[in-house]
Amino acid sequence: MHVDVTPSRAATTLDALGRMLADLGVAHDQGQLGAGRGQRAGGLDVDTGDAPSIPSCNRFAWDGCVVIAYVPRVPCYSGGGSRELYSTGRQAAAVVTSDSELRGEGLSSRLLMTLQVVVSPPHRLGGVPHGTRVIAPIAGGSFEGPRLRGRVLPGGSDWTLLRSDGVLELDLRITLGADDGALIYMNSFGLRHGPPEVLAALARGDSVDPAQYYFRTAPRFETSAPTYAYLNRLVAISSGDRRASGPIYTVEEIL
Amino acid sequence: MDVVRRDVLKTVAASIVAGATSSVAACADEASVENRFPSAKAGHTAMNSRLLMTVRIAAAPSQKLGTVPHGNRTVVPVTGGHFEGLRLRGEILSGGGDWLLLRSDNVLELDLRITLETDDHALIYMTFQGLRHGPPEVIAALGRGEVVDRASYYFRTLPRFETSTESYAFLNRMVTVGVGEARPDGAIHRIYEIL
Repeated sequence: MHVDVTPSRAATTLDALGRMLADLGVAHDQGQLGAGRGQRAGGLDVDTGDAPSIPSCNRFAWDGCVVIAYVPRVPCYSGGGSRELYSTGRQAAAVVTSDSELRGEGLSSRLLMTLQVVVSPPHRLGGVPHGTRVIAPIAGGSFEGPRLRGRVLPGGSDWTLLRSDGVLELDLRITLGADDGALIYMNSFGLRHGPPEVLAALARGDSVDPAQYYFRTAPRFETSAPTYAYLNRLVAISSGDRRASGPIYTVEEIL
Repeated sequence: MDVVRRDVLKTVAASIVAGATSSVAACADEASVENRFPSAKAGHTAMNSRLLMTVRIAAAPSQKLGTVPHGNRTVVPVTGGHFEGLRLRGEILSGGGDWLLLRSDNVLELDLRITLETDDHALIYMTFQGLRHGPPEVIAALGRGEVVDRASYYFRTLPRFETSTESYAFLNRMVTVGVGEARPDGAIHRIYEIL
């Protein structure tokens, strides 16, 4: 097979790969090097053979692994046996990751709930040491998912902070009342940003396609109800869709 | 033994080659990804993400503080390590740590603060809060310092970053999730950017 390498790092990458392959006795034929000369700056012809899977290996502990980059320095760990992980004795080392992980497939999730909160008129505190503070009281709302549903109790708020770099930090604290009476405390930290014209439209209360801006939060939960104790143990991420009446969050459990 | 090790390395080397192509594709896609914010559509249950970096933390022996009001506290000093991704790579500086709390429901809460130094000398402050739990026998094996299949326990984190360096400012603006792997001498975290 033939492999092309990123132009900016072609020389070093190919050099490292070549030496590693040579050491390991893998047949290869190094192509022409020339970092920076066009998209196909270098390549490597390699006989990959029939690469077996790696059932269990402390060194590279999963199969189908690929090296996406290499560390151009000899690593110098001060802690224990970690030296072994990267140092190959060839001044070239690798961080190993799988092809699918690189595409984000290493992270799977499933729908936890859709959460709609109703926001009361916000308190605009203006410029504070960390940015511009706006506190949006939560008047209510509802949530619905495969394993939980109910109402958002009034009394929470979102303590938003517009930072100097134009990113809005969200810091929401609300209480969820499940339809079986259980109480769930939820807090979430999030970020919202996007093109100025899109944010301006949001500020006017216009309806905007949520794909036009970045609005992601990381909710956390606390409950004493055994039925919902799984919420205490999960990491979640949500996508927000800011509406005039308040945001709608699609909350997903990270599996 | 030597033969086995050689086979493993050979496999890895072959995989290097298999993976290089995808790296190129990912790089070429970089510009378009920056301007794309996939929305959460109705019924969509697969979060869009991509690997930001792999972080390998080297830790000193832990300091076991015992039972405190919120649970069982252990402090793990971070002595160094590496991080590597398509857009950033470098070393972890010493001086950080992970303030672990084993809760009464046997969930381990992680609270990490470290400083990253990129290979072009930018400093990045990284924190995460996370959760780790699993079957008692798996957690016990981890406690004995054994290497355990990371799929056999839940170890997820929410890393956040701060940097003043313009070329890494994208880190200030992203929500990320880490998939952790506990090792006797530290941990490996695969950190995904939520797109």
